[in-house]
Parts: sequence; C-alpha cells; structure tokens
Amino acid sequence: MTKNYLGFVITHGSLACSIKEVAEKLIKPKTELRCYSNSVQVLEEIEEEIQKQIAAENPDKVAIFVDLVGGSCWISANRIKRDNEHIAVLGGLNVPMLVSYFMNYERLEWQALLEKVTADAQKGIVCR
Amino acid sequence: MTLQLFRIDDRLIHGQVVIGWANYLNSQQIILCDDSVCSNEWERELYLSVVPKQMDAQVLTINQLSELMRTGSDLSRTIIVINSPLVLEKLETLGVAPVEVNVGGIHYKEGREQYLSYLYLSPEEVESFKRLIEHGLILNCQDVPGAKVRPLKSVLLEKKH
Repeated sequence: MTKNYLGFVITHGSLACSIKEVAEKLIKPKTELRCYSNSVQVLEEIEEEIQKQIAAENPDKVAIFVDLVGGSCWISANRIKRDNEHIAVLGGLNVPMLVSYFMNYERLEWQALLEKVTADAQKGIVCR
Repeated sequence: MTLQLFRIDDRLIHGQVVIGWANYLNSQQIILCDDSVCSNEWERELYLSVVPKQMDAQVLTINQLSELMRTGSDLSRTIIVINSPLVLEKLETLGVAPVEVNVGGIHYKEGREQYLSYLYLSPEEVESFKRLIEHGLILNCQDVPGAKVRPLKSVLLEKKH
C-alpha cells in the first residue's frame, strides 16, 4: 500500500533543491521531497505554503528536513510542527540523511524510519 | 553600561546570532526582547530551545529589558536582540537606548524596499531609523562577524541617490 507521507526540505540559500538533486542521483526515490529556499521565499510564506499543503493533502505523516538546528529554517519548521505529533523535524541535513529516507521510505514504519534516517545521517560524518 | 552586542534582527535568535556572533564574541548570555514573543509561551520556549546549553538565555518585554539595563547589570558578555527600530525607539523613550547598535538583518516582506542584501525597510522603519540617527545613536549594518561594516546613515543616503 502506498504510504501517505509528505516530505519537505527547507534550507538556507539554494541548498534544499541541490542536496535533493544529489541524493536523487544516488538513489531513485520512491517519494517526492518538496524543496524550499529562504533566499527565494520569505520564511513566513514558506510556513504558510507548507501548512496549506498539509491541510489540503491530509498526510498520515510529515517529515521536514532542515539544514541547521537552531537556524531560522529550524524555527520555521518547528512552527509548522507545533504540537502535531505526526510531523517530524529533522535537523542537520546531509546527503546520507536524504539517501536513507529514500532508501527506507517504503520498507520501514514511521518511527523506525525516523530513527534509521537520523542514525545514517550521523554515520555519514567521519573524520580521519 | 557595557553591552557586548545590541542587534536588530527580525529573525531574532537564529544561526547568525548563535553560531556567528555568540561564538565569535564568546558570549555568555542572549536576551531576546520582544513583547509579542514574551507573551506567547510556545514561541518563547522555541527561541530559548535553540540557544546552546552552555549559554544563558531569556526572553524579556521592553519594560523588563529597560529595568534590567537601568539597574546597571553586567551585560559585557550579553547579546541583546530586538526585531525592529521601533522597539529601539521605545527603549529610547524609556531612557535606556544603547550607544551603538548592530543592524544585522531585516528581511524582505511586502512593503519593504531593499537597502542591502540583508536589509529591507518599510517607509515607517526608515523614518524610525532616521530619528534614531538624529538622536545620536550609532547604527552600523553588519550581518555576520567579519563582514564589512556599513554605517546605516550612508546606506540610507546612497539609496536616496
């Protein structure tokens, strides 16, 4: 059965669409991510647009990926989430995070998916 | 009163403040002064949650900040953030405006015109800034540490021509 999840990426500059494109070159996604840049639209507009889409499409779950924990995109994503338990905000966006989301989207249940995506993002950071 | 940084930024506490300025200045505290955020517990907690644990943070009303500044508290490692020159004018009326102000960012929205890549102002905000300049406040535009400092007075003048 197709999952009724929605995914958004909100970042500073043009990172959102670029990182999504990079991840899509590594794995053919089974789900769409909608990207938003705070240099193209003001954050209040982005919040409003995403809230409208969530209201119109009534997804079971929503994932919002943002680049910087504590940044203005993080603040906006948390305003969208507010007290909605079915919305998850994932900060510290990197390529392994999105690849993991695409790879495990169909295979894992929501909570397990969030845990896997977060763990894979962290595993993708290495210094040697 | 020594104050580490008094900043106007309509995004209030965010990456440029926490990662940029607070790290660069080795700040101990961030004070967000905004009547509307202060009256909304959820918004207040959201902003406080993004401040690193090793730093103190508080959200104050304009009146509370004016009291704090009047008591001569040690703010030498404190960043104060407000979102508009109109808040600064209110503080000035209460007799506690800082001497020097960092104009760090007011972003695009309908009715605002661009002055710098990070500075968009409405006619009301321009007038407010002009009054503050006339009153002798030093207003310098600089979004992040290390970026070029531009006196607001010249930024406003350049736009005119």
